[in-house]
Amino acid sequence: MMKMDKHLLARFDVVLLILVALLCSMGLINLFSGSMSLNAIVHHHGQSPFIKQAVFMTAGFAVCFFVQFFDYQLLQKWNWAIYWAGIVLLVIVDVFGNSAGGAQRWIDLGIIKLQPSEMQKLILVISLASYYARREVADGYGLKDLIKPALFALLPAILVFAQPDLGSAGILLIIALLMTLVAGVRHSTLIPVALIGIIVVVVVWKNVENMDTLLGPYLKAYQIKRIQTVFHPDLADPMGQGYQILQSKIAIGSGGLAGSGYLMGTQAQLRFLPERHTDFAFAVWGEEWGFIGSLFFVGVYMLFLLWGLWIAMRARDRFGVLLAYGVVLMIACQAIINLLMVMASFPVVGVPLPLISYGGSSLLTTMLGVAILLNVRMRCELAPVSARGQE
Amino acid sequence: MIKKRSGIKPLFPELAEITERDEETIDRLRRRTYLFCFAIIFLFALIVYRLYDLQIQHGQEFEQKAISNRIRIQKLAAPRGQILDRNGEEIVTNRPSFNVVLMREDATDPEMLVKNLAPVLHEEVSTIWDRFREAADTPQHMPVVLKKDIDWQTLAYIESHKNTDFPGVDIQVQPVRVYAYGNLMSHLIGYLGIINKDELEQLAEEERRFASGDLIGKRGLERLREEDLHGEKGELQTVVDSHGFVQERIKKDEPFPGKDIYLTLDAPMQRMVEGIMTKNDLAGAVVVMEVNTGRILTSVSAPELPLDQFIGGISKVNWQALQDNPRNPQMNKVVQATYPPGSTYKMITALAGLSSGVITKDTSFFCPGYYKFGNRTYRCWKHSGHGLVELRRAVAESCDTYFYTVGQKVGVDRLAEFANKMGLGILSGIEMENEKTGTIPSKAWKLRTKREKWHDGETLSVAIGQGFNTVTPLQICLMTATLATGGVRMKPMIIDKIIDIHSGQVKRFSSEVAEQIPLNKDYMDIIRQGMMDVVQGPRGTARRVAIKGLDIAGKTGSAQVVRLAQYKGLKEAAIPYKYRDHAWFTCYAPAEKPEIAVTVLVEHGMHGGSAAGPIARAILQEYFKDRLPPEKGGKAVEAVAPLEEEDAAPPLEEGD
Repeated sequence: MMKMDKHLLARFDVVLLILVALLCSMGLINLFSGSMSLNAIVHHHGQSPFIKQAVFMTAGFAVCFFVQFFDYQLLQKWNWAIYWAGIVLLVIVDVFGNSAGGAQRWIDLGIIKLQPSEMQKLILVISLASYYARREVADGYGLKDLIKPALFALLPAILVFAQPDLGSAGILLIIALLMTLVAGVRHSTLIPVALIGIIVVVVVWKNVENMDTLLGPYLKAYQIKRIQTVFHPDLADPMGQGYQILQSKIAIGSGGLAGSGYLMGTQAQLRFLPERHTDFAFAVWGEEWGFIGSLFFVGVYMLFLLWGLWIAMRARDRFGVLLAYGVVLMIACQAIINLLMVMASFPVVGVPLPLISYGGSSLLTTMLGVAILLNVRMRCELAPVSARGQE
Repeated sequence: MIKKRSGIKPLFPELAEITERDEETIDRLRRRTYLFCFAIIFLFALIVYRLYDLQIQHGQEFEQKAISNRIRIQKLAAPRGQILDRNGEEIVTNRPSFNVVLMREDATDPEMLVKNLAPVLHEEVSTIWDRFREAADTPQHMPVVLKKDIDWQTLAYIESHKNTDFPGVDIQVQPVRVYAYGNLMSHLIGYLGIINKDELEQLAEEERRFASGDLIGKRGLERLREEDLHGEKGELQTVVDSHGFVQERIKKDEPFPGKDIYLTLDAPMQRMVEGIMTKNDLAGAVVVMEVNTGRILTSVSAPELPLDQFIGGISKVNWQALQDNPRNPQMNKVVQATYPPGSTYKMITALAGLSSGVITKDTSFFCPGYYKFGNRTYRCWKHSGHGLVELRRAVAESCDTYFYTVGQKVGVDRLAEFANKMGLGILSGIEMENEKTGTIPSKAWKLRTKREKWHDGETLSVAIGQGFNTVTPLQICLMTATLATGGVRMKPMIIDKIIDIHSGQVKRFSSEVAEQIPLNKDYMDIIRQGMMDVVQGPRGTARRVAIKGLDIAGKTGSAQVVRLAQYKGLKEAAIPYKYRDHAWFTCYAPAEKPEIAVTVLVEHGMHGGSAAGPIARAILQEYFKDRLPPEKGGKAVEAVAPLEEEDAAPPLEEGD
C-alpha cells in the first residue's frame, strides 16, 4: 500500500502546490486584515481567527502530504463506509448539533467545531465518482441508471437542507448535476429531463409571489424568503442582506484601480462590512488591493482550477478523471458563487470562498480535495485499475 | 451516439495503453471535462467584468460613499400592548427603562472600556465580558446590551461621560411592564421572560419582529396573545463618520406598538374578590360570568402569583418556594385544578331524572337518613333523615337519599350525558392555558381507563357528585349559567376587544353559543325553585347568602378530599387542614331574569354555605348595588367563619 518511489515523486505536482500555497497565503494575509479589530476583543477570550486559521492551514498541508502515500483507489474501495459515515454525521448534527442563528450546523468537538455539511461536499464527489466509474455505459446513462446517484445526492442534500443550510444543500445538488452531465447522459434522457427541469424552474419563477401559501405548511417563512430571493432577488429583501450587499459593494468599489492599501481599508477596518472574515472575505481584498490586486487574485484562482482540470484529464482511469473533476467542480462552484455574491451579482446564500474564507471545516475539506488532485496526478502513469472488476 | 473507436482521437496519446474499451470511455470523459474548462473561463471573465464595473467604472462613486456614507442601523424597541379591563381601566402598562449598550464598531479599546465601565454599572468585569461573548455571533453593527434597566443616577453619569470616557457606549430606551394593581389577575395575565432558542425558532416566521434577547410572554394572556401584544420594532439608520459620530439620519421607521387588549373582566370586582381571598388567607377559585353572553367578569385563583418576582427573571429561591407551596400558587385553579363537584352536581342528577321520565316534580321518596343498596348502606348527610321529600325540597335541603334513588334509576351513562351537555367534563375553550377536562365517569370510561366493569354502587356516589367525578370551577360556573339560561350554554370569553392604536383597527369579540340544549321549561322551573329555596327557603343550606330585594338561585356543595373514618364526626378544628373538605357555592341571580352566575370554591373550606357563600354574597351585592334597597346596618362580609348550620358533607359509608 505504501508505494512511494522515485517514479511517483517525479510526478509530484509542484505547480499545483505553488498555486495552492499562493492562494492560502493571500487568504491568511487577508484574514489578518479582516479580523484585526476583532482580535482586540477576542484577545483574552479565545484564539484569534488568524491564529486558528494558520493552524488549520498547517494541519491541512500536513494531511495533504501524508495522504500522498496512499493510492486514491482506496477511496473507491471504502466509498460506502465514507458515504454512510457522512450521513451519520449529518443526522447527528441535525439532532444534537449546536445551533447558530437558528440553524444547526456544528458538532462541537472541543478543538474544532466540525461542520459535516462541508465534508459532505467532498464525500458526495467521491461517492458519485465511484458509482459512475464502476458502472460504465457505452452510450451514456439512461433514466434507470440515474435513480441511484440521484438518491445518493438527495439524502445528504435533504439532511443539510433541514439544518437548515440552503447554500450547502444547493452546492450538493449542483455537484451532483454537473458530475452526472460529465459522466455522460443519454441524449434521449437528457433532453426531456432538461426540458422538464426548465419548465419547473419557469413555473416556480412565475409563482414566486404565491409561494407563501403553497409552501407555507412545509417550510419556515425565512426559508421561503430565501428561495424567493434566489429566483427573484428584487422581490424579497430579507433583513440585513440589503445592508450587507450594499456595504460589500461599497468596499470593493472604493478599492478603485490600486486599492486603499493593506490594512488601510476603511470599510473593513471600521467594521461596516459584516461577515468580513468569512463569506465576505473577498470584499476586504477588493478594497485593500484594488482592481490590480483583484485581477491577480482571480487570475491565480482560475489558474488553480484549470490546472486541476488538466490533472483530471490526465488521470489514468475513469475513477481518477471523475474524482479529480469532481474536486475541481466542488471548489469552482463555491468560488464562483461566492465571488458573484460578494459583488452583488448573485443572491446572498452563505457559500464560503474555499481556501480564503475563515472556517476550519471548509479549509480542511478543500485541502483534502487538493490532496486528491495531487494524488491523481502522481499516479497518472501507473497501470490503470479497471473498475469494472470490482462491481 | 456510439462513435467508432477510430473516431476518437486520444487527448493524451502517451497514456493510451489501457484496454481499447476503457480508453474509449475515458477519452469521452476527458472531452466533456475539457468543455468544463471553457465554462470556468467564461464565468471568470464575468467576474473580471464585474470587478471592472465596480472598481473602474464606478470606483469614484463608491469611494465617495466609503468616505461619507457609513450607515449604522439601530433597532428601536416597540412598547408592548397594554391590558385593560372592560371599562378601560389600565391593569398592565409599560414604563421606559434604560439599557447600556455598546457599539462594537466604535469601541477603540474594549479592554480598557470594560475595566472602567464595570464599577459604574456595579458589575464584575467578567460579567461584562460574558455579555460580549454572548453577542459574538450577532452582526458587528448590532449593539451589545451590557446592562438592562439602570437607575437614574447611573443613567445621568453615563450620559454625561459617554463621549469622553466611554467611546462606543450608548443608552437605549426599552419599555418594561408595569402592573397597576400588583398581582391583580396574575394567573390570567401571566408574565414575560427572555425568549429562548426553541421559541425563537418557532417564531422565526416573524423574523423581523423577534430577535434573541427579546422579552416575550411566558404564561397567561401574555403568552397566548404574544402575536397581538408584541408590536414591531422600529429601525433607525444613521450615517456616522469614522469616529462614530452621527452625521446624518437617513431613515427612521417608528416602532409599531403592540395592540391593546380590553378584557371582559371588571377590575373593581376582581380587586374586591382577590382582597377577600387574601385577607382571609383562603385558597381556591372564584368565577363570575354573564350568563347571556359568556363574558367572564371575575376570575380569581388564590393564592395569587407574585408577578413582580418574574420581572427580569425569577430567582431560584423564589421559584423553589413557589413550587413547594402546598397551596399551589402556580396553578390557575379556575381551569387547571379539578375537584369533585359535590352536591352542586345534584342539579345534573335532577335534570337527568326529570328528562328521562324517571321522576316528575311530585315524585317523593322517603329518606330515613340512609339508603340501602345491595348489602351496603349509603348515608344521607342528615343522619336523622329528611322524611318524605319531593324534588324541590331535595334540592333545597340537599337530600342525599333522594339523589341516590334517582341516580340509581337513571344510570351512570345518562348522568354523564347530561353532565357533558351542561359543560362538565368537557373543555370550555376559554382563552386560558392548560385547561383541564376533569372527569365525568361513564361505563365506557371506566372500561377504557381502569379496564374494569362499572359497579352499580358507584353510580350512587356519582349521583351526589362524589366518586370519580372531578370538575373545574369554571365548569361548575358554566353549568350554573346554563341552568340560568334554560339550556343555552355560552362559550366563556375573557377578551372584549383588541385595539391596534397604530392603525386604529378595533377587533371586537362576540359571544358564541357553545351548545343549545333542548330542555323542558317546566323541568328548569322546578330546579330553579329548589335552588331558590337553597338561599331563600326556611331550611336551605345557604340561607346566609340571601340578600334582601334580590332572588338568588344557588346550591352549596362539599367536595370530599379524603374518606377516612378517623376524621368522621370530629369537630372542624380537629381535622388537619389538608384533609378538610372543599367548599362549593354556585348561584345565579336574579333568579327570574338571570344576569350573572357566580361560582366559589374554597379549598378545605368545609361548608359551602358558610365558607364559600359569603364571598358569592359580596359579589352579588357589588354587582347589584345600584338596584338593591339600602341594607340595615350595611353589614358587608368580613369574616368567613363557619356558622352553626351543617352542610352536605356526604358521609358515604361502606356497609359491612
